[in-house]
Amino acid sequence: MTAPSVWLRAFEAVTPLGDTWAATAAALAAGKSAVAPIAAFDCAGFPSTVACEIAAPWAKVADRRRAIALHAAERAWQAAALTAAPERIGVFVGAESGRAEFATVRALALAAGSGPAFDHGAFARFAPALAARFDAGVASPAAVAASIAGRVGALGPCETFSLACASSSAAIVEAVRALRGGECDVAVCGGVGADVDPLMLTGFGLLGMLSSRGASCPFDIRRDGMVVGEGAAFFVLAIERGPAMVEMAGVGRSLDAGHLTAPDPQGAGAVRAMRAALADAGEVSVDCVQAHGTSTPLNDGIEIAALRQVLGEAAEQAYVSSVKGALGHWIAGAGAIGLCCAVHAVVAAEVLPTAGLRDVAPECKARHVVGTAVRAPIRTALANAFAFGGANSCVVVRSAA
Amino acid sequence: MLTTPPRLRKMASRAAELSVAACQRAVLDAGLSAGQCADAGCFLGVGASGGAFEEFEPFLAASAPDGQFDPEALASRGLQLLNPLYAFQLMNNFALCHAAIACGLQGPNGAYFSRGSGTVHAVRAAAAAVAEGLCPLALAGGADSALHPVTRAELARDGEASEPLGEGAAWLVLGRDGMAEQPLAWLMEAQVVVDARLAEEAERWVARFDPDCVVVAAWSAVASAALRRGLGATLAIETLTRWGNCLAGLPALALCVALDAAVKAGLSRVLVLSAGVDGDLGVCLLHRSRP
Repeated sequence: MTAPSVWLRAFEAVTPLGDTWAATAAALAAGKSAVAPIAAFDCAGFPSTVACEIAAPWAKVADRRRAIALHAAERAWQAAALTAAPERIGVFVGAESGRAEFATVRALALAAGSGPAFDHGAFARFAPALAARFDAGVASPAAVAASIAGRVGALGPCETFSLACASSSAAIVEAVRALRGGECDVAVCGGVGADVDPLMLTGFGLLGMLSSRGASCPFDIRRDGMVVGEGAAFFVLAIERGPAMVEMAGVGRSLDAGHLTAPDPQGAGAVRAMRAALADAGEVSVDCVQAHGTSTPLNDGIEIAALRQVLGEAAEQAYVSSVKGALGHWIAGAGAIGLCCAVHAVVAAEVLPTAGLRDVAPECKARHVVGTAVRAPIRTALANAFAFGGANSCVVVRSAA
Repeated sequence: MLTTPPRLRKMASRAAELSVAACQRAVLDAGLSAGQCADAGCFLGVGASGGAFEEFEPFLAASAPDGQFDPEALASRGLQLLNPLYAFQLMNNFALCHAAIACGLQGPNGAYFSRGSGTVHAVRAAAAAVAEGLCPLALAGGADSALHPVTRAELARDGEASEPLGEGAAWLVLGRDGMAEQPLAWLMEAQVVVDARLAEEAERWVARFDPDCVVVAAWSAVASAALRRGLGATLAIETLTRWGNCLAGLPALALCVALDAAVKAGLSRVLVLSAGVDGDLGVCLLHRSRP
């Protein structure tokens, strides 16, 4: 039996360049970038002092993840204007753990004896008093999906994917799979990233992943690392075609099984995921690729080489861009905002540019969109998400026209 | 006794260490070749316990000299005290990725988080991936540790810390029907019931499947008691009291117990029920012989 098609009925995003996708797309099309000095905390002396932050007052709450995610998911749900039995509505979210206040974590460390060995006795005496300082919603990745399910009245499958930079793409892939398999009729899916905080900047900085120049310039010869960003993007998918924006034509996943942070040198894992998504879509090529494009020295060149392996000569014709030049790397939300750009290319016949890209590196040669957006009819688009740890997830969308 | 290479210990959370050890043994036990591993899917229920506190504590102390976070202190002193690979210990998906790297698993994948049913989501997704032909076989399981200060405080807040806390990991190898000459069992059902009334749901699933035995993997005595109320006179095996609350690891260990009940005790139908803080119920049904 052939699986039913899955249709995109609406999507929305909140980004450092706008509270809506429309505002964001307009800014992106004009070549704007949100990379700026970090305002949330004093970061002098940190490995990186820039990021792409959401400045809206409503986002300045203890759990930014949930606030940002709900903002985007609710608007997407309203825009879709769909009705379905609660049991037939699924929620699929890519999210990582939130973080407790630094002082709370420190207090816990002290309660545990503050030494090399964990003092369980001391901890048992002190921890109960500290427990109340933890809001379940702040720390649990699953709290985001649960909040969205509650807000849209969903009682169908409710799943959370913690797969680093591929989290939200994996959530979208699983939503498509669940719809095809009849587990639900409607799915709210996407993801959120909110990692502009001292602990994550410390962690990524010590690993040498952040741009020391403070610039996100995917595929550029000057690229030296990523810039962390934050935001959320959510999609409403349905089995019923209705006034569909695009068809969710193909999905694919793979693991590098090679290295924790570096991509496979031959891009083998990325190749497998892209090929799986194209095969699933019944396509051999695409008109446009929203690349993972992190602005790190290793990723970008290998991704372009992998694209050439997958698309062959057609790689010369496919437009390539990466939204991370303008919005930074959203980690768990990266796949979702990338898919927004891919969908936009098909729906608006406009391929958004890679901000920060000026001089394309020799190993990154492709049909890049530089400066401002390119107007062109786009029938199919591929969105890539490749995670730390080697998990790869790809989505192909196709015009519903 | 689990022995971990020093480099892995620098990069891996406790859950990831356990995940690697269990995955390697599952691959060995199933006799999988490197080629079979390369084609295999990989689906894991994960937790968020993060890295070793004893490594983190000096960084915290230097970064919060007066008990309050001081960004300048972090930048000038804290950074030098942190293991550069510590961030790897904080990433939830690394329990999956370390295992994939150790065993060469390259197929479709997913790391599922839920306080109670993420592991059953993983098993369901693995079974679906095999059934849909995305991969000829898939490894699925759960890995977690509750022996972490932040996790323990969170469980205390939710009234779930009164039980013994534990840690554990287990992986199952799922393949297409006919792939193995003597499969241990057939996975007949794997699903998650959202927002479940535990006793009523337990009763419903027992009535539906008429199992010979139910393996209960609840995070608390309260949830366990609720499930067991719904089981009536059906034979039940409790996992919480044996291993403590291993969080995402517990449903995976419960599946191992269910396999033992089927293979060694010769029970025909074994049901696994898992429940955690989030209120969902995970349901898996194993058949000893081909249905």
